[in-house]
Amino acid sequence: MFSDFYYFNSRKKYVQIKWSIVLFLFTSSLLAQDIEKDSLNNEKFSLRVGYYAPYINQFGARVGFSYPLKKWAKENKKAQTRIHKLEIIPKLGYFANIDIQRNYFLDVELQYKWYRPKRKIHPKIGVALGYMLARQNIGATVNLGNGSFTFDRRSLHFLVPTIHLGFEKNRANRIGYYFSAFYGRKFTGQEVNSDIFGLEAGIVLNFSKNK
Amino acid sequence: MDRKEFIKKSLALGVGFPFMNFILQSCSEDGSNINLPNFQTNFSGKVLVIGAGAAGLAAGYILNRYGVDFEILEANPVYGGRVKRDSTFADFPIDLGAEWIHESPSVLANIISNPQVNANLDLIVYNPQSIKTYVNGSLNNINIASNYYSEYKFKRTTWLGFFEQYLVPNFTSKIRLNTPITQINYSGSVVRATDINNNVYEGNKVLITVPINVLKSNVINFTPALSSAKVDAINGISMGDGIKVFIEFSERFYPDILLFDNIINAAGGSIEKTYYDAAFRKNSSRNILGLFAVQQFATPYTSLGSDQERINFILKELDEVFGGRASKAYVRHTIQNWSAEPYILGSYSSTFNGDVDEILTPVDNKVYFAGEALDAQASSTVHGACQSAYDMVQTMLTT
Ligand SMILES: Cc1cc2nc3c(=O)[nH]c(=O)nc-3n(C[C@H](O)[C@H](O)[C@H](O)COP(=O)(O)OP(=O)(O)OC[C@H]3O[C@@H](n4cnc5c(N)ncnc54)[C@H](O)[C@@H]3O)c2cc1C
Repeated sequence: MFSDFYYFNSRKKYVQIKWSIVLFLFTSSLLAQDIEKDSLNNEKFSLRVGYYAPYINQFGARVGFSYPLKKWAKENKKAQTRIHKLEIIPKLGYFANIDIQRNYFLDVELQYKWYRPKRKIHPKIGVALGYMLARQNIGATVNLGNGSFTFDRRSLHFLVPTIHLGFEKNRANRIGYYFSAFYGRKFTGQEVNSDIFGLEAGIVLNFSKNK
Repeated sequence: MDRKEFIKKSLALGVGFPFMNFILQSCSEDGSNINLPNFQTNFSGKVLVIGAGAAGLAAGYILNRYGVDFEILEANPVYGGRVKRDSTFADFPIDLGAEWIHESPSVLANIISNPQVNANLDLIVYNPQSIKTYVNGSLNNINIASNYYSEYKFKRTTWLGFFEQYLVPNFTSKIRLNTPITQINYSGSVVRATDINNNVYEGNKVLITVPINVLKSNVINFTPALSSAKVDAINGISMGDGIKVFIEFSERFYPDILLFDNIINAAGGSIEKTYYDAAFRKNSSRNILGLFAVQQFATPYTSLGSDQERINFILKELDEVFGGRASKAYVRHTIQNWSAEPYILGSYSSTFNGDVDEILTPVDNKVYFAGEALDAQASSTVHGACQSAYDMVQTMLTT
């Protein structure tokens, strides 16, 4: 596990390049395509509820809504159609390692996914910007009679850009699922900045917009 | 078996020394499995305790509680052993030996084990935020590691202060300082301990809590001699060098922790050298950097001829890491060289190739051993030393 941290930290340039590639793919896929007229009216929006494990050792939950922004189709040389879809997902999350801190996370992800209509599982990538409030344990008072103890906490405020990579299965049915890994950075004026990464898995409940 | 295996084998909570548990334990559960034993005893004799470190003091605490006559014989002019304090160097008291509480804070209440104690103690959550590694000439941030490591330290007091305030007050008069024991004769019906000035102290049983390196160095002669199985078992435990240095600087140029190994090894628990902000969350206005080095990582410092050479070496090392800023900002320092303490001779037990149970087996129902090296669950710690003493006193008084 720590090899990953070291990897990330010792290769800042690599990370910057990775960010650039993601942004490039994102914008180029939007601009370079033959965008067909949206059929967003028929699109569904979905509620996603997930299990959330930043740093792998911290656990929590995340709830979000995904709203379709754009959808287009493109045929390749073999006359196969590929659907491209852009969604925006505001999310609310909570995760904690109770010995260290409790975190409240609000972020908005711009997610791009692409699939062949017959394929049920499809990949997705996203970029997100979030605000995180961390209630961090800085002190403890222990009662020497019974051993109980309470924490003193401070609030830390972070701006958190992240990139997300994962897959999803959610089109055909009412209920689907998703899995994604994310990586980003926590920026704050109160403390040192640091990396953040983690995993997320959850279910997607699809609702038809017209209903 | 090395210390890691020893600990892994025998405990649920792996503790031992700073940064060992990079993969954080859930300290908020009451993981502290130390317990003051509860037992009945008919013992009516006197117990001699050799050494007034954590184990010796804990033994005194429980013996006093059970109303047993005892005397603690300590070689040094102060009690505490590897629990030692400097109250003058900074604007907060500094732990020159044990500093971290490698357990849930409730371990402190468990050591005292007295529900009548009506006191609260403030601790800091030792969860460093800025973490750097210096490996192969390159300084890297690994701040993300702060999500994996957190322990506790005293906020306004020290480990020694804790013992002074909550364990020792009821039996201070039973601690005899400046009494280095050189001989233990258990051939007769009583045990006789002779000190360096040939004063003899008698008891029915003796509990020896001196560090393992002191036992190995034959500072104490036993009559009759200890069995070869016991001697082999003692020699099978290794205890390397140990040093702590505190340096005041006029400016802060260092992170909360500087490690000299990559994070993978740190996660594995092999970090035995670090520079760290000793004033971290201590409400201090001073810039105090600590050096903690034990086992083979301490030897480059402890093997130097003088403290002046040591501080020069350290400043050079820090200058290399921080581009010359250390010697420019240097104000003063204090050094605690544990290897040079004649009645300590190192840091703490680290590898276990011997049979610890053999050492724990009483000799003739008169000679007993305790101390940090002998606690199966938390060797190398203060609470482990206390637990080992509690267990051995129970054995002593009930068999
Ligand atoms: C640098 C360093 C950092 C540490 N950090 C931590 C930490 O952060 N947290 C933690 O929990 N633990 C830490 N430890 C370990 C902890 O300090 C020890 O495990 C614990 O204090 C040992 O207690 P003890 O009673 O077994 O031995 P000691 O404290 O060594 O006590 C033995 C006593 O016996 C006396 N003695 C020796 N020979 C004789 C003799 N011939 N006659 C009479 N008396 C004698 C000695 O003077 C000493 O007072 C650290 C240790 C060191 C050296």
